[in-house]
Amino acid sequence: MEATVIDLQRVGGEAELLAYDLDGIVEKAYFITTAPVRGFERIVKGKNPVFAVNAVMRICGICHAAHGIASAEAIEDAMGVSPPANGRYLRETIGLLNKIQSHLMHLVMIIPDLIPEPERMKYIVATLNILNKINDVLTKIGGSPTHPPYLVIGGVSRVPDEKTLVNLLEELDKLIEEYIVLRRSFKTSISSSDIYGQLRFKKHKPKYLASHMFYGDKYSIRIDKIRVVRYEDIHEDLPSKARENTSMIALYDGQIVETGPRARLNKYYDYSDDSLWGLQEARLIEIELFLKRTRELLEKVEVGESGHSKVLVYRSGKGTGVFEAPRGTLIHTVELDDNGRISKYKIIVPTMFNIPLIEQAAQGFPSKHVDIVPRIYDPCIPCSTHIIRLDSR
Amino acid sequence: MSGKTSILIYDLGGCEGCPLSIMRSYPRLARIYDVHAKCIGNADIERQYNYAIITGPICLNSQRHIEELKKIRKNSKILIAYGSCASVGGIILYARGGQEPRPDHRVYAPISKIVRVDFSIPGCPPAPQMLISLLGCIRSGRGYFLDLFKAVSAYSKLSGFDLMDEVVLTGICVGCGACVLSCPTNALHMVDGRPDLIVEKCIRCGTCTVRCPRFTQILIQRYKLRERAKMLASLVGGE
Amino acid sequence: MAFQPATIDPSNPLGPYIGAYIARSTAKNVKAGGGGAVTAILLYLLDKKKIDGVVAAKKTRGIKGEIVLAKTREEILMAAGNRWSIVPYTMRLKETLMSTDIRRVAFVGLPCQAQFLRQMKMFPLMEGDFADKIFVIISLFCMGTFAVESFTDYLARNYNVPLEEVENIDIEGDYLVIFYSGKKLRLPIESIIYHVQHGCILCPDYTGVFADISAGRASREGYTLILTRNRLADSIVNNAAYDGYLEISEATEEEIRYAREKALDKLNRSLKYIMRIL
Repeated sequence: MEATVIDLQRVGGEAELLAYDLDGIVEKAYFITTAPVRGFERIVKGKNPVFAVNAVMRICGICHAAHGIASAEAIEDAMGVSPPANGRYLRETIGLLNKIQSHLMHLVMIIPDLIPEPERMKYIVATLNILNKINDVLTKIGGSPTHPPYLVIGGVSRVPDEKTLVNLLEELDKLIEEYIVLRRSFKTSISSSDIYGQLRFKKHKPKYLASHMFYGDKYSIRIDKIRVVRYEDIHEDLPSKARENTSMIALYDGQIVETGPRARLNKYYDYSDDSLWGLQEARLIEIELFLKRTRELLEKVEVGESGHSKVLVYRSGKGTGVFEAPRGTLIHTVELDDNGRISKYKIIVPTMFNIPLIEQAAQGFPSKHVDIVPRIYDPCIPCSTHIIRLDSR
Repeated sequence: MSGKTSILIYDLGGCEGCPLSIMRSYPRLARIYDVHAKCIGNADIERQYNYAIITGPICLNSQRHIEELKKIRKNSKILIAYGSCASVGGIILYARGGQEPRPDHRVYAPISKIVRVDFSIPGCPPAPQMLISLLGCIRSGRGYFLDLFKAVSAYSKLSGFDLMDEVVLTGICVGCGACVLSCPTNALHMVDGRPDLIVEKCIRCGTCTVRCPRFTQILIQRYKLRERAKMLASLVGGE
Repeated sequence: MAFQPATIDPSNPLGPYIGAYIARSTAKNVKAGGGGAVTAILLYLLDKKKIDGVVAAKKTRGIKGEIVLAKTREEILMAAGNRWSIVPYTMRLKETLMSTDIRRVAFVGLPCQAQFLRQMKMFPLMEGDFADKIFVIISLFCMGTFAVESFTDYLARNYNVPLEEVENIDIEGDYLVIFYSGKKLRLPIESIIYHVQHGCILCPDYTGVFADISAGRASREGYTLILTRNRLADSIVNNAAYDGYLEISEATEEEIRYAREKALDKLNRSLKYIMRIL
């Protein structure tokens, strides 16, 4: 067996794939994240919860809003406050737009594998066009396309006015059409691609974990069944190269589970596709669903009503926030001390569930193109490298 | 390759927000420059570049990243620290390490602590069109704002706290409101005609300081003094 | 590429400019500080649909004011007049600009605000910036602004001038003239220097070198001196004159020297004080 280290590009963050090759087929693979561990759970310790929401959003520039929402949910749970209806609608909207952003950015990164020049640039430009429009929508609702500042504890700090809402609805209608056209032509363009064939061919059937189609529901999963372990704990005879890994692994009920778009669609929507391509297909379907749902939510927003609870309670407490991030179930848990400051903070991110699956799926894949496997799983390394070990039982 | 100016966009362990923000203007950028980035799949730190745009902070405990950074500095003519983490430390200055699985990653700093930086651009993250505008300005020569971004590279921290200490509390704030419109977390608000910092919201991105007319003046003047002092020191044979 | 002044240096205290004019409004009802030229330019831009609105300071009480987005002729006329205090930009302004269908706006402000707006336009450091909405930046000449409470209290205590009744403030030679309740109060400038904001004493910029158009008092009574700093600005001023909003003539050497001296005064004052706080 011959070992090669592939520096992974076009994924969110710094990572390498250590692949052992046997006759052109991957025999065993290790997914090694190399980004340094910034330690956000430690950063927020001792701080005011308001700081925590702004800080954890900056764990990741891809799923910023997802972290913001999960964090706000957890802190609200601990404080005993809850957002008003407008706050819930707008928060979900911000979360959905974030998921669309992430899926589109991922599409930009995966296009070069599937579409050759000169068509490639055309698709990248078209995708970025839609992405930029989505960003404009998010700017109007969340205040900024990255790290939206209107996400606060207790809801969303600003409600758009009537005129803006009407404009946004029109904009969304156009976006839905534009996206459907792009998706259709994208699918015809890739059908002859070599890699597309390989992704279709490679089947892999994991267990799924999802808590909600659009938002996140802490009561639909058993958080006590999640265990976070070190990377070394799931591998025997780890090669020394792989010991540099900087992320943790999460297991559900002691098992490896997949979380993310396919898991969501499988659980809450009539969808099943066990091929690796099925993951990407799920993302393409989700974008459309999310755009439509965003439209629905914005129609519900009551102009003139407040978007947040306007109260912060500084007291001791424990709370959990679960949100469906672009890559799957994201869990934040917080403990507040007597002054309402943060004494404990834990984050479990979807990529921690998915890393073992990336390695499993890479086995048996042609070595030449194996870098597509992590890419199709869309790991988010900035997120996965900032996580503490939960007390293992 | 083509005769285009080459640029490298490289992240050293930040949140990826900055490179993705740059990527959004990729079609425009690619028309003028030969762009190399991980998001495109052609990043290679072994070759030479005209410009290197570094995002993300440097972990002072990670040999791997420090070596990468030094290599990029050697291979590039102009190095730009892009975004708050790379330029002034940003949120990540709060890092105190101790986190699994690598509790040894304890201290983070802006990249100017390790290598010489030509321009430092705060912002969390800067807007997509920022980079195109900046590279155009660098090409066409000097200017007040370029002097400013050069001066920022001499700092290892700038934040709302510095704005309060140096401008507001010292009484030289005129109350123009520039900082309030420059805060990405709405941590600054006007109280009786003066900005006040909501401390728990400040993420130390430094945007307010480089937008304040008074603070920019101070930054540039101090930088000039520092350069002069350096020159004098070199004349008498010191470091 | 927008222009960018290298620095504000003593050899060129007015900053770079391509045109210098002496101007006044042709309309009788426009009577702001100097010749009302800025108001005339704004009305021209609005009438010709080149802008959707103007961000300017509107007088509320005495010398106090608030930032408004003026969208009609009437609102612009209401916001005209000399400003002797700085009115801060606030989050509310940003929200107004973000949430409505305003596409292009003219900003009228002081040199410090012009610097901020220019930086936002050239180097958007934030994704939430409204850089693309800034159509033109107009800076008013500024020798410094008053610390509002301090100054109004001084007037009330020593001269019995109530805040509400201050109608206008003007400079005549070395004297500051305060118009209130139909009366005039003349004060030597040295006597009120303590009520100028400290930050303004450090400021090196008299005309607003970062603006597209700088405008302010001309040496000739009842006229405005206009400096245009790029082609866009120059065409705006010339077209406004062509369409009859503005009466312009090239500024003479002497008139430019007048502004230059004032600018140099402010710059020297700044250089003297900045060293103390570094």
